[in-house]
Amino acid sequence: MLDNLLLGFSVASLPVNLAFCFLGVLLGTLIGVLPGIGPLATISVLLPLTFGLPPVTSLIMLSGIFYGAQYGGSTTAILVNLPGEASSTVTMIDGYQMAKRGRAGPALAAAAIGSFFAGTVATLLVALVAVPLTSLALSFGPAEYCSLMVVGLVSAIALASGSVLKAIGMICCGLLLGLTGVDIYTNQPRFTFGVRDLLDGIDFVALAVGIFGISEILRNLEGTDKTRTLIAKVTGLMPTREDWRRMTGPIMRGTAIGGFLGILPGSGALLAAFVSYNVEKKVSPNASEFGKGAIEGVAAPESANNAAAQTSYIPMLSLGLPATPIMALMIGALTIHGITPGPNVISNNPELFWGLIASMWIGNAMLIVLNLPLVGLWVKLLSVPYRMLFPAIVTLCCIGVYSVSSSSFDVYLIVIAGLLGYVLTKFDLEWAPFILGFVLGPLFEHQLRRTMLITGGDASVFLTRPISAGLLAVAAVLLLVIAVPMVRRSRQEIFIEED
Amino acid sequence: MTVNSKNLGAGLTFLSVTAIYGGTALQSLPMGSLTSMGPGFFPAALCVILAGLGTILVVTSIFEARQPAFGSFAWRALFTISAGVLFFGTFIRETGLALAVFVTAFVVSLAAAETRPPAAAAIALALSAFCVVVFIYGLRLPLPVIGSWPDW
Repeated sequence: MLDNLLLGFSVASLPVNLAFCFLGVLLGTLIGVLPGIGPLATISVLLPLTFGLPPVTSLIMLSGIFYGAQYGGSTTAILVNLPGEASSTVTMIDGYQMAKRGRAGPALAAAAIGSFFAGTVATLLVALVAVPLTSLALSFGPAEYCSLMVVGLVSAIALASGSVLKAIGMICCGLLLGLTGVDIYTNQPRFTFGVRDLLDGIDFVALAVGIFGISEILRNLEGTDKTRTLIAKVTGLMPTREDWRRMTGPIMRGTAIGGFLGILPGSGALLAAFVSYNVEKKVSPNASEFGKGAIEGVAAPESANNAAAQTSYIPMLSLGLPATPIMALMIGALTIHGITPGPNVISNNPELFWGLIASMWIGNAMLIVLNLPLVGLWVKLLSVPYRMLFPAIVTLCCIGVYSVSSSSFDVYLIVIAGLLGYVLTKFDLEWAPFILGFVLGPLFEHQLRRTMLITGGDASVFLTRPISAGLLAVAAVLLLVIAVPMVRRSRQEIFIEED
Repeated sequence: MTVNSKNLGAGLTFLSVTAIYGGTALQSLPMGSLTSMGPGFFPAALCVILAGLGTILVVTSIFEARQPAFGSFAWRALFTISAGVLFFGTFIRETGLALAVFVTAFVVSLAAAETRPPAAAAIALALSAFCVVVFIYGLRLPLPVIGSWPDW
């Protein structure tokens, strides 16, 4: 493993990769600080612009945006009491209280140090866990792959915050739309409705840009431009000796909780932050201070959400299964570069896998430098009004999508996807399960048809092969957990704050 | 009538997808058998699930507490942004990047009610210059700055 990590660092420290890693975390911090622009939208928009880059470099930059946003989000949460990112909602509670008492500096430091520690541990965890998981996955036949994808799809239901029925429906819609194009078994075009541009399928980038970029802008434009008032001033960054003592435990526990929850498909950074905050509230000797500016309440959730962000790469890199919509985008990026996501990535493209992992650690180190000394600069950004930002985003979407294949149709697709994204969200239909279905659709059908072909139409193979049966059992348990009303209620409580 | 329009809308969405995709599958795609599934098999199976979910959502929505789906709706933004993006897609080849970005950004800026045309023009001009510098001279995207319009 040491050899592999060394290979990774040699790839990640190439000047071009360092430069794009820096660009990624810089952009990530930027959009993390600004409320109303999420990493999902940004990665969708920038995805096409990274095509010219080598796959490693492109993935390094896109990942930098993702975890950079987690860092940046905490700055806004602490200083302005707005969640820069959904996952920093929890940090707001105690972070802003600390800032109001003139302890903004230590709060920011606690968030950054916690995130850095969590990022380091989680990066190691990815390196440790991904390889054994991969060798397991290499023994998979088509039946195992089908069952694995069922697990992925069921966890997509867990990803959705609202109704289970709607989530299943959106998965089905995603699977259906994913099938658009020429059927590989019979060469027959499917669901193209006579449009020639659809023969290759619906363009993933245009779809993602529309659904996550344009529809988000439409939602933001419903209300009036809120002026963001900066209440807190940053003085003295260094935590006191007492602060250090109080934050060590929460950072450790937050990292462990986040690292674990991140691996589970479907849970993600926000859930990790909530759980770790509640755990700290139970175990802390200073429980009474929570909600009034306890440093534990900043350190724990920030460590947890960063750890979870990092470990959510594990299912994506080792199994080719996206656990979150962002990972679905990463898979899209890999596919566009001609790399088939799945267990073969580690053996076929070791420089990609280890380079990405090493770059995460480097990126985390860059972030701590970017965030602590330069915090004043980021705060100034908050005074840029949204009405000047969104025209830039829309324009970038257009140029990005058009530059992929010089297709007018793909640009029109942005509008269609954006409108659908906006209107269907009004019905509380969520797009995370849809995107997962869309990405997995063709793969799932392919493996299903192969399985049936091999077994002569005998579906019992899914239950007689042990790994497949085990995976289906996991899916069943997951479904049960989601469906049990008790759990559902607390899930709703968790997600209500996300809005 | 008390209807949960959010669920009604969701149910109708699923039923429309079923109608379009299921209809196409039944009409033009062979089903095959379980052993060798045709191109229509998997889509048809998905449509059965969707039809069921859609029906449940529609029927139950009638008996649920009233819940409006469209509180506020960004009509203005919807029209301006769509118009801007459609313009870009249609005319980028003819106008070139500079002009396409200017027009698109100008129209899109008007989505915010507070942005008056002069301000929109300023934003559009700045963006146009920025995009030309970054994408043509920086990233060297193969896009024309000026376009083929004079050749018309």
